[in-house]
Amino acid sequence: MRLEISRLRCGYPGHTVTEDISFSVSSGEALYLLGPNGSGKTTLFKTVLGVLARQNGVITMDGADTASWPQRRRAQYLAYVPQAHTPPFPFTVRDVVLTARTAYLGMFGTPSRRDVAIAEEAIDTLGLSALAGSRYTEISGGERQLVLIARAVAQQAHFLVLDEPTSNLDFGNQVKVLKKIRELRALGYGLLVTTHLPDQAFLCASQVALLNHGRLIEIGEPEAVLTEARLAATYGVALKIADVGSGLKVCVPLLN
Amino acid sequence: MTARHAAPAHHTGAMIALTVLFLVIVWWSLALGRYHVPLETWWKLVTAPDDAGIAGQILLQVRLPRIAAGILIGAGLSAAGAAYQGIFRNPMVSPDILGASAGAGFGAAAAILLGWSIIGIELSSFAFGLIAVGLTCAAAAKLKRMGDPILTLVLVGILVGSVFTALVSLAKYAADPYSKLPAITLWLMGSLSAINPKDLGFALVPMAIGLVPLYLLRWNLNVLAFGEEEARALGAETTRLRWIIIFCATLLTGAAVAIAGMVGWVGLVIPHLARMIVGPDYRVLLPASVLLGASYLLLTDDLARSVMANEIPLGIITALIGAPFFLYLMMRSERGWA
Repeated sequence: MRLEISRLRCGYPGHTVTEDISFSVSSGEALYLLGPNGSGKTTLFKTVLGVLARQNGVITMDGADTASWPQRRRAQYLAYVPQAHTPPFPFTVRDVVLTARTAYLGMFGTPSRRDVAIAEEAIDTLGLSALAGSRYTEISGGERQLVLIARAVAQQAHFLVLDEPTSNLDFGNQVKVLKKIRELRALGYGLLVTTHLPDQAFLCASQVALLNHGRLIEIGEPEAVLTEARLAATYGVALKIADVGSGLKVCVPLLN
Repeated sequence: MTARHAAPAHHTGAMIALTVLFLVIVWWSLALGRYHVPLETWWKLVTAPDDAGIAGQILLQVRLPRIAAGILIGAGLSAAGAAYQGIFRNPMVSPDILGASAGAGFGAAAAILLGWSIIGIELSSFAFGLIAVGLTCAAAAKLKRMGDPILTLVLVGILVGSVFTALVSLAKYAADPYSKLPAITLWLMGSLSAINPKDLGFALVPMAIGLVPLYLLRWNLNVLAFGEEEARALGAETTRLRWIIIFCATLLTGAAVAIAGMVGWVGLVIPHLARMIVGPDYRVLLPASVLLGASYLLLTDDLARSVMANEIPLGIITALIGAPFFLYLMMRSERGWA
């Protein structure tokens, strides 16, 4: 499967945020989107997900234009993993994951036994079986993030759109989530991920897109895009990229 | 789609208990009253309605319609409250808090003042309920950046509610002090004492039009509780759903207010209690709220007609129970919403 975005213009009514964005992601690839706050990452994501109407440009799924697709159909191809949140009601982990099946139900439908089985399997895939009956509002932030990934898996979509999946997580939980992201890639999902941390792109990305002021500055392999000069210019800070062995790179800021 | 639905099985026991509780309260309410009705009369009513005598007439014309109205209003207000809480993602909202009740109250008072029929009262009540909710939503959306959205919606709802309460006072002020004013005043306090079988018939239609779609959309209420953007990304057509649900919940509120007046707080208290018993999953929560709401309203109406020699207006009892409960919820909220 191939998700292709060409010359996309996104924004809110009467206000354009990003312009002339083109890239593509195929199954098994992970495109990481980096850019300063306000560079348009979230707006771009919302538009790709169909939450926000596109202003111009084309989004295609294996060549088919998705513009006229009902939201339900789009959700069968693209699943959203928001940042771990707290809903106003104490749903169980199982109920949260089960909402993924909405894309396969009619307007008046409720999940069938088969849907429940799919949800359970997704919970199992993420290693969360012990938490299935727990209240989503009472588990840790890291666990909540994994539950939201499980929900995206249960949605049986081909592409997952992850919005800063490690923000607000402690170091251990960040690593857990990063491992899952790698596993998902190996399972054949196409991933679209935003992050503020170049290190994570070095660890998990097959491609990196650098966004600033609503424009795509550069797109390509992580090592090619994330250079000291380019990151320094984009974020306006001094930094150093170092090789820590076996080809793995890290990015550290220089404070003076 | 097959009919094999994934029943949230662990709540079957709670649902059976709520059903039994409801049936017991219905039975008790039928037996309760100043006029004692012997058991045989019930049998006679079923087999030979014409020979049942005065007792039979009392049952058929007075007690039965009143109980049916209690069930409808309790069920309707509770379902409306549960639905509002879901789409506004806010466990503190209810028909009262959103201003829907006050708006519907003004619509009904104005219609009574103009001498309209029960259908006119219902339509006017519904229309002004919808206007009030619309105003609350619009104003709250404008104030989005004010911080806590839950608090903003509650505050704006109170403001809109007070505007319509003032308009109700205006309607009272303009009313004929000998005929219309007592009617409006008594009706505003909330009471089922004036229910007759004909009004009940007219209330049944909007109640059904409101309740049935809400029940059919119970799964979508779960999805909408995750917020507009997430629900859309999950494949829900949120705009259409939101409108249908607001329409239905407001229709239920309007119908309840039109036949029983201002019976407050039911739509806040009951969904909360139901959520404590069966959890937040709307597939169970909605039917549980309906059963619990019907039971609660019957029970408070039993109190209203039996505690004192004169009837206590129902709205007074529900407010006396509801307001302290709201306070209790606010204190609990420090530890997360139930």
